[in-house]
Amino acid sequence: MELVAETPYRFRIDRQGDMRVPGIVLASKALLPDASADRSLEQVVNVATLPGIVQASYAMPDMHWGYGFPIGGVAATDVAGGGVVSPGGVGFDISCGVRLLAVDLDRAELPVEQVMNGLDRAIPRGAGHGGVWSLPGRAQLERVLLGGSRYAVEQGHGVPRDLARCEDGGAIDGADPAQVSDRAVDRGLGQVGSLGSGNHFLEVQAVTEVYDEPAAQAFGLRHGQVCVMIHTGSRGLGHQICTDHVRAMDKAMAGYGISVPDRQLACAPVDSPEGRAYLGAMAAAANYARANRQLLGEAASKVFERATGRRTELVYDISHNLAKIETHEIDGQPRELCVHRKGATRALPPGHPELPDDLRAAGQPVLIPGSMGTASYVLAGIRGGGAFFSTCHGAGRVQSRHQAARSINGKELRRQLERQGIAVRGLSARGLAEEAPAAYKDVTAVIEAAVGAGLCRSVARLEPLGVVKG
Amino acid sequence: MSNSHLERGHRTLPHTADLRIEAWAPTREACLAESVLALVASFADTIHAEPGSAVTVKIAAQTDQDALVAVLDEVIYLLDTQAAVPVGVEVGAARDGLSVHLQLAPLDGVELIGAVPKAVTLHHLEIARSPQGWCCGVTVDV
Repeated sequence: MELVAETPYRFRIDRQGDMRVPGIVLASKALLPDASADRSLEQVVNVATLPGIVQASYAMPDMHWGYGFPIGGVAATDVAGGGVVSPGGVGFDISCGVRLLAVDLDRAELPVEQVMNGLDRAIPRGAGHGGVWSLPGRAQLERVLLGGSRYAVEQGHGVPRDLARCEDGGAIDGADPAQVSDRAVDRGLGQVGSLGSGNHFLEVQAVTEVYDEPAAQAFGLRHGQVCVMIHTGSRGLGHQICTDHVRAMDKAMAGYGISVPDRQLACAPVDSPEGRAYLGAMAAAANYARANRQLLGEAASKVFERATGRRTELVYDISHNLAKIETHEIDGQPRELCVHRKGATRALPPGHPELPDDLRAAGQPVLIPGSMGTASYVLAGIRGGGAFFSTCHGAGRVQSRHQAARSINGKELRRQLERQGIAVRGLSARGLAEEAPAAYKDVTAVIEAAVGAGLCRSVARLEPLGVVKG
Repeated sequence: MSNSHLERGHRTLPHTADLRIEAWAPTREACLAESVLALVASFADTIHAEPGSAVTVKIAAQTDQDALVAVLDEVIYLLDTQAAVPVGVEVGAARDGLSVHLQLAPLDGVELIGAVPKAVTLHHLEIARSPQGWCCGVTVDV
């Protein structure tokens, strides 16, 4: 496949075959996928064939091989022009995302062992069910699906300020619980307020660099400050919703005259019964994910209050697996688009009307978790930001879980992390090994490329002090 | 997907994002049962697990691919909702579909050795008959 270098951080795949738009890869040359082991460039091409896609099929610097869409893919379709929505363009873990809390504490004051032991007890994680919020049945779960973090705060699990610091004020409008199957509800009922497994984690971190003082101040961050980063999503409920709606669209596509090069790209027009059903269910899952992170944030805050007497404040909560109906200018005209971000983060620029007053001058906070034991970053949106105001979402995998587990033993990895001064509370040695830093790209190189490609700017760097994993 | 293996069996293959399983057997039903064992073997060592309960589910599927996906979906559903892991499986033909009998062990009674499956994808989904029998391949989200 031929990649044309437009700049050091922007590569073009010209239209060919059934592509309706070009592919644009926003990465440095060193971060481009190795075609022998990773077929994500083919997936960029496949996404470019979707009906109604506009501008380009984009890939972020942390792109890697998914199924259907690449992870790190951004694609927007024109709703009025028959544009489609594809559940695979959001991913199974709908509204998987990151929540960052700032603790009113300097790292020198942190009683690490006491806090980590408290978090170890307070944070449900791993496979199966068990969350901090026990819901009695479908009726109350539906209130979570409709209200997200707003409902959690109404029920006493947080403060109103939390909602201003969460995308969409804590809940997406348009959630439709009637489009959520009983199986999805069954899977979701016992998991509100739980991390899950895989690459999800809770980390205690410290701010080690501030690159943009005014923005850091607006976000509530200062050098040396202790923070808590939570990375998780919509658990079994989101996975089941994606499963159900991919299958429904897979069967319905032919009726709309749509064929796709990979069945996991199954899609239907946004303005169709299947498209509306998915978007209603997706919004419900996104609200579940926000409530999930709200409850985990509350549980972590209580641990800090008990151990240190200090309070926490929400910096921001972002999703990196979502489709949103947004208005963008295409060929000089405002158009309603369905913007899919799969492993990509929205990054609204300074001055954007959707931002709360205290963040409007700085732009939207973007939270980028590094791989386990490495730095994480806080970024911000910029004026003229590319790919429909989107940027990367993490370090990006380069090794399969099998390869990672073969390259290092979990116990040895734990010892290495502890030698670096990082306290580890994991459930299984294998789970740790699969998330070894060597399995990921260098997050600092990813951030450099995202900034170089004109997607965002750096605000602060955070380094881990302790990690809690499933 | 290889179809040169003898009798029945399964294996897992690395995939950057997730997990790929393959299974093979002389009959379609045995191949489906083997796919369940492949999925379980990807994340759990069940060698010392004792079955504590059993469940039989009916699966109505129009195609072999639908049947494959439905059987594996059931494993994931049981894992999430009952914290149960299949340690024995029998798949038989039933009226209008399949009957799947699963012997279950509690999740906390098995050793986790890999990432837990969360969804079955349609990406490169394969199930086919060959002169040697049946074989299938599935990409699983973990």
